[in-house]
Amino acid sequence: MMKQILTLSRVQLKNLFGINEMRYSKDKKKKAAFALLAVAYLLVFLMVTAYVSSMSYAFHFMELGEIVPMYLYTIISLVMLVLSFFKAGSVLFSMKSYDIMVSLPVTKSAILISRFVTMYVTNLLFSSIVMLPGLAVHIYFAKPGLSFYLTSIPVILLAPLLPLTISSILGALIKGISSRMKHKSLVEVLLTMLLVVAVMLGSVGMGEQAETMDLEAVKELLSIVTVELGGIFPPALWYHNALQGNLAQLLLLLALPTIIFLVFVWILAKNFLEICAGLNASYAKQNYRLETLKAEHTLIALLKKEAKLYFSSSLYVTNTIIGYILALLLAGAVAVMGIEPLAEYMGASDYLPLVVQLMPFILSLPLCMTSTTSCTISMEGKTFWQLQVLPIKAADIYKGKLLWNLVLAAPFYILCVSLLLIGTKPDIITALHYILLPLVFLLFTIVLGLAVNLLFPVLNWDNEARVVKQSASTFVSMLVGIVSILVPAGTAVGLQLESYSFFHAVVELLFLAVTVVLYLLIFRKELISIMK
Amino acid sequence: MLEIKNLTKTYKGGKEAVSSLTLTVNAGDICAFIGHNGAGKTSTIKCIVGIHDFDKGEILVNGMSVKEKPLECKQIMAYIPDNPDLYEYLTGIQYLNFIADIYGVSAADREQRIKEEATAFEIEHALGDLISSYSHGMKQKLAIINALIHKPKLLILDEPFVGLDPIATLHLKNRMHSLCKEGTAIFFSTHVLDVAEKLCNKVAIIRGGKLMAAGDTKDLTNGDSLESVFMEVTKE
Repeated sequence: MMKQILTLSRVQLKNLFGINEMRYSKDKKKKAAFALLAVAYLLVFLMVTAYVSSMSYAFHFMELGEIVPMYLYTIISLVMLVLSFFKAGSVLFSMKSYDIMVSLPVTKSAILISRFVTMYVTNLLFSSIVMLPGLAVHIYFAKPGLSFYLTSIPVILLAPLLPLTISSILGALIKGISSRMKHKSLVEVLLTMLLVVAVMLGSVGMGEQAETMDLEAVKELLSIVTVELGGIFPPALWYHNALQGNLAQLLLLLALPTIIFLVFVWILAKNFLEICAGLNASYAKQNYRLETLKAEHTLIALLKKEAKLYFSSSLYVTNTIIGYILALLLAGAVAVMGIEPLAEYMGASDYLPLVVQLMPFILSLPLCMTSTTSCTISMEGKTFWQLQVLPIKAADIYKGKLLWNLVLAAPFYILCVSLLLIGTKPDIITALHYILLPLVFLLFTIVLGLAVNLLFPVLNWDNEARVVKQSASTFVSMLVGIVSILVPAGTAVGLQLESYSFFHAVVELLFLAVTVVLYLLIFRKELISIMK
Repeated sequence: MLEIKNLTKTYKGGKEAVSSLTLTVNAGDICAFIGHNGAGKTSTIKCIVGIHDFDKGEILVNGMSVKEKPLECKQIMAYIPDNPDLYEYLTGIQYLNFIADIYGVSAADREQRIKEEATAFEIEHALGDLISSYSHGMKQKLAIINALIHKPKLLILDEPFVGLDPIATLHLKNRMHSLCKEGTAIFFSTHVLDVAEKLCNKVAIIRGGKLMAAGDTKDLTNGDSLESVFMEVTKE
């Protein structure tokens, strides 16, 4: 079976990040796009390295160096848990490549494990990027002995296993439940969102609990942080204790994820076919009778088609609507509790007036974190030919896609801004900026998403996760979107102005202008040439 | 109706798929486009329907250039691909309605045409189901109905008989004949020489991106079988 797993994994890994395509593509434009993406990844890598190294240094500076390894371990585990949760189900139960694989003389377990391997490698790459620079600084200052390396190397190698298994179990449960329902996608989206909201509320609760601790007791800070991290993620505490020489906890740390993983694979392999079949079954009534049909305007027809495309993929929905839901939670919290608890949560209770002025940026961050447009062209996949042969302008297709994102975002935006206004009761000028700034950022993100997807389209995918989670387009859109909000927000903090009205107005005009330019660029010949 | 003049299509990487191809299909013609795998049939077809751009030459549909007036050309043209990747998240009727909206077909016309074709292709009962539940043949039938919904003047088909059951194959052949009588030009690629010989009044043979022979089926075969003509023409 090992040979089967290796062979299947090799094929899937070749598709990871489009590496194989880049290697063999003769298209110079495509190669240039890949190079641009590599630069973006490198920038993120450098940013992460700088952040993690300085954090590790700061811990050592505060004489808290001992907790660096467990702190890094907790961070990567939690991030991997969240990232894997959104894609685990879709990667594990993708039926497209399953059809080909199941006809080959390979076991179900081999197919399943090979799909895990793809996610494992991605996560290992991520965890190494975060862990290694941080640990390098730690090693420089702490100069640990051989036992540190002997403990840390297997721990890092196995680090992705536990979050991956937990998120896969949750993903499998959600897929398993929804596979028995008629409206599979809808049930899946609802269950996923329910879980995310529960986790969000839970983490806020944990934060509140942590704040009740006596953080002023500096002498006990080390043990407090250790206990706190251990409370959030017990394996981090085991890692900490293993580094102190506790062999039993090292064995526990290595054995537990492995055992849970193997048991999960064993159980899942037994029900794999049933879940896959259930998820991919369509209800065919075969009793249709032609009734009166209605003719509609082209743009309405395109908009309806976009809506159907959107709701056909639970992965697409969950990954693009999550930002809107987070924004709603944030605005809801402000409406119920006011702005003070938020400022307190951010550790900025002394700067309440500034937080009030930053509120539109804070709301814009989750609201504009994702857009449906950032992978809308790619989502057309193999049906893209249909749009190419229809007698419609590429511009109309793009308008339909932009309009759908607006239609989807509009209720969230209206609700969020209304809740924010209720919660903060600002003066009329501030209220105007509370309305305008998120709107401008929202428009910018939507147009940016489409522009970036037109530059980095991926049409030959066989798993939606390839375009929704792993594509250059989603990555670049999100990165540029977040940086575009953080830069003016950071500037606002740095400026420390008496009144922020003028500053807000400048940011609004600037981003509106950028959005208009981007919009016009999209309809220029060069970008439209994707249609060929 | 369809005029291809010196068409040359080179893919990125330098592969010349179609080389100086010149061909005419008149209104009322049924023209079969035959050739080995990789000969350049699908590349030519994709250039006509606007999926691929091309480097040299000109393609005219009803006298209009597909490069200069793409929308006008597409409005009177229909295309059925060899592998119908349709919108699986729509039901059959939603898909047909969407296509009809794009072509601006009136509600009454679309109702009548869908009714006629869906009944003939024995697919009416399945129109309320998601396309993802369709078999390959059913998708092919839906793609054919989609192509006929706006009464095209030029019908382009890539391997249209693959996956169709015998009744649907017969109905498609009959429809092609009736469309041809109404003045529609039909251009389709096929590997089935028997069908080409019996169905088409014109044949074009392509090899290595170059048009090797084209003309009236009767003149080309001259009493011989199309198979032997094809073997002779495409001999290395």
